[in-house]
Amino acid sequence: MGDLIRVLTDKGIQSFKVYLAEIRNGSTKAPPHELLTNPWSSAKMQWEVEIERCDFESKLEASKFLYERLRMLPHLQVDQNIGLWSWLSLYYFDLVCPVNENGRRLPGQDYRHILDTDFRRYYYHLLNGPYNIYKLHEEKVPLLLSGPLYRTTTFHLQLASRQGFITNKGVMEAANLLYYDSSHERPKIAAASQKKPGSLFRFITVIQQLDLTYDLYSMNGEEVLKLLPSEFEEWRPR
Amino acid sequence: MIRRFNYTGRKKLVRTRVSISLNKTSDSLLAFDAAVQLDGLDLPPGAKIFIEAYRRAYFKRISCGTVSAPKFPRKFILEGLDPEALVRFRVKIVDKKGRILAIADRITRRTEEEPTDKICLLPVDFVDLGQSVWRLDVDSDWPSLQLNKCVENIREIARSDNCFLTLVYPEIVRQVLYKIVVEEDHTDPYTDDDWMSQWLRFVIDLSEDKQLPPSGYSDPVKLEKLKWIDDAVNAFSSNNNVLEKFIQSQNFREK
Repeated sequence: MGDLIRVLTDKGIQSFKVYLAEIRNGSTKAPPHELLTNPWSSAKMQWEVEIERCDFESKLEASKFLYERLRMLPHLQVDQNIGLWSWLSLYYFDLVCPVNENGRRLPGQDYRHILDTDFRRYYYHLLNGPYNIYKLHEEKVPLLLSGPLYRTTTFHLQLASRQGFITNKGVMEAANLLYYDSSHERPKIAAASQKKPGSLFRFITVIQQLDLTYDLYSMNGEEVLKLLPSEFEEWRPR
Repeated sequence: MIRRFNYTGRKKLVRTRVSISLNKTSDSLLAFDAAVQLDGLDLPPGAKIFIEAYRRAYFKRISCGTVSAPKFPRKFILEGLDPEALVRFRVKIVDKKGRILAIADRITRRTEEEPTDKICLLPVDFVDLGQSVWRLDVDSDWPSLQLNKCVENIREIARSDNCFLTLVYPEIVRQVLYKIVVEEDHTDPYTDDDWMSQWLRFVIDLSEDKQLPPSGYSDPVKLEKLKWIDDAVNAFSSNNNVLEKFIQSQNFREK
């Protein structure tokens, strides 16, 4: 039996923020799960959608699950719904902010849990960020969706923050071909290094240059790879 | 000043060649009409035309035929996009090898109410700003005024409330000019039709002496730049009777 998805109200969000501040200051209090159902802190959604607590092993698994549950709802009611994503974050709090070996939770900034719609921060949300990537690319870019929910990778921050990258299927496929190690289901070692030739940061610079000359949106990943100079040779799939 | 190289001879489609108008459908969805004037650009007849609508993680690419046989969208629905959101458009002309022959980017919307022969210098975006009423976004690819959509009638307030107009808009001009002149040292208004040059042309036209801002990063130059910005804000305020409107708004409130 699952739970009906609700949305946190302004008061609910405020209380969630207070909790985040408390655990940031060292409190070991349990998550305030009562906010999820209490009528003053949460409200029903217009549609009835059930979810359940699963032990998602990766962002890919979680985003696929959420996408399948939410895809039938109007995008406008989902994509930037602050109350919805805050509710989901609290619902899955043990996954987005687990207790570490010292018995503490490290939540980081509020916008990792409470969706901030500002264009500089919206992709930081630990559930909405992967959800948006899955919605755009489904399972084609595991590079950005590998690893546990609570860990935001350099790949995610560098690529999801750039509109011209994250919305470009060919460029994202190319990044995945270069830097994703499918045998170990994680990014290749040192692929996000600032110093290594042909690594992620060079990829971003070179793609930005190519984007001035080529219509990269019309290309698939292999075609984008063909445009890259020899410094990327080491990263190309064998 | 940043120099740009254009080895491939890519052409710039000036914005006045692109006409995009937005409207809401009866289902409150956002739709747009587009047309692009390509005469005189000497583009190959078989080159393909694409229009791309984008905002954050939203992206929609529309194929619009070729230069010799264009098919521009009419009432094309941007499904999944908030009808109040600030959407931008890009027009690309592409050859058979995937090379860009001409491009116009960062085109902001024009609603049916706005004149079609003017470029919108300050698009407005309606977003949740928490406890703030407004915010200027100068860090994305075109400056925009963000208004808190949780405030009732905010669209009308920003358009016609004298108190808002007189207190907010001069400050917007100041912040935009600071970004352009002090942070970016962009001081030539006649180099391009990018947003910085267009803003500079706009404020220089308002001033009587038509002075260009000083260029450079040294401390004395920075002081001169701040003085130039002060003068430009004053010229803007004077052209828009800011002081008079503010006094009127206060008198109206007292009555």
